[in-house]
Amino acid sequence: MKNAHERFGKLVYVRRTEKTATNIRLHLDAFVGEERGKAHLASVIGGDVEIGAIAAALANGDMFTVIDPTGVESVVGLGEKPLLFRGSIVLAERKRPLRHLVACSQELADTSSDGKLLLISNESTFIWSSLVSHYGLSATPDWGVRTRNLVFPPENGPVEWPPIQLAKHIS
Amino acid sequence: MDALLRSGYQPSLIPPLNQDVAERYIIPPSPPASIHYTGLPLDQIEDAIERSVAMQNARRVLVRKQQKMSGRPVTPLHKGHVGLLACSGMLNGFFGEGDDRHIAHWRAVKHVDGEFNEEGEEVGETIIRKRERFSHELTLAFENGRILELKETKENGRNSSHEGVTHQLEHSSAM
Repeated sequence: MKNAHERFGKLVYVRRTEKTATNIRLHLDAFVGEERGKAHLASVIGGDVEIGAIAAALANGDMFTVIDPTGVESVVGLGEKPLLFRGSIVLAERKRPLRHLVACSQELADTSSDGKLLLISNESTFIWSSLVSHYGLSATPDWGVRTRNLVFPPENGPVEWPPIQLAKHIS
Repeated sequence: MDALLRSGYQPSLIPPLNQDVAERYIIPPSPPASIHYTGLPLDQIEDAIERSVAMQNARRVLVRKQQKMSGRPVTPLHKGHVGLLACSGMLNGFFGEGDDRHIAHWRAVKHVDGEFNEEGEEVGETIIRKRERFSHELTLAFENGRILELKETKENGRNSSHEGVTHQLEHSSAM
């Protein structure tokens, strides 16, 4: 895809102590959050040192600033014990690979929650599949609760769910 | 120099150029300016992120996939095989005929039983142990609108414990 700079945001982490000041800015590929400073997902890329520092800060529950592609800033935190996933991105033009970090809040990853269910996409198939899986509903991907279309197929057989693709949305 | 600085802060003070300008400075021709971007190649990175190990591992947690299995066994499946497949959600689908025609959905649910506190070896040390286990739940939706649910329920509001587990079929006609 072209013009990725229009879809990337920034993650800024600033920490000042008596002797040192840390100021890290990373490219933010994806972010899911709520109002009142609650973050649920952050996907960032950067060098070894920056990603290491951010991973330590997030694991520590520190707050950070996210700047969306339009320039709007918010100070957020992932809460206690976020899940951190690390990976590398190898690019042909660069000698060293870039590091990739995906951080999820415990609330987003919690599969046993009985009340609030957080989802990372607003696509209808993804939402329906997640609800069916989370609440153990007997349903097919063709059924629509809002349209009251709960028709059984003419033949018996397995329920086939389409593969789920997650697309990036800017909102 | 002062006039130049002032006009830098207030561009409106700069007089427009016209034919009466006393001195003219000819700008020499130059090749087209080339712009070099020295930052990260974000277009390539955005494409590569989808293949990143971090994203794949995160997706396993964030995307609740429906289980799927297909194939033809070499020998007929025994009841035990069918039971294992059913409980793991591999046989979710439509079954039966007539009034018994239904759609079945199995799933495994993790339960965390109460905490068990023990005193540690050192003074004041407390070891907190939690017992985690999986239980299977079955939901049946019949074509005639009946719904059956087979799952663990809590007894009198207490946390479910392994010994106190009851399996109940809850009936309703919400469909």
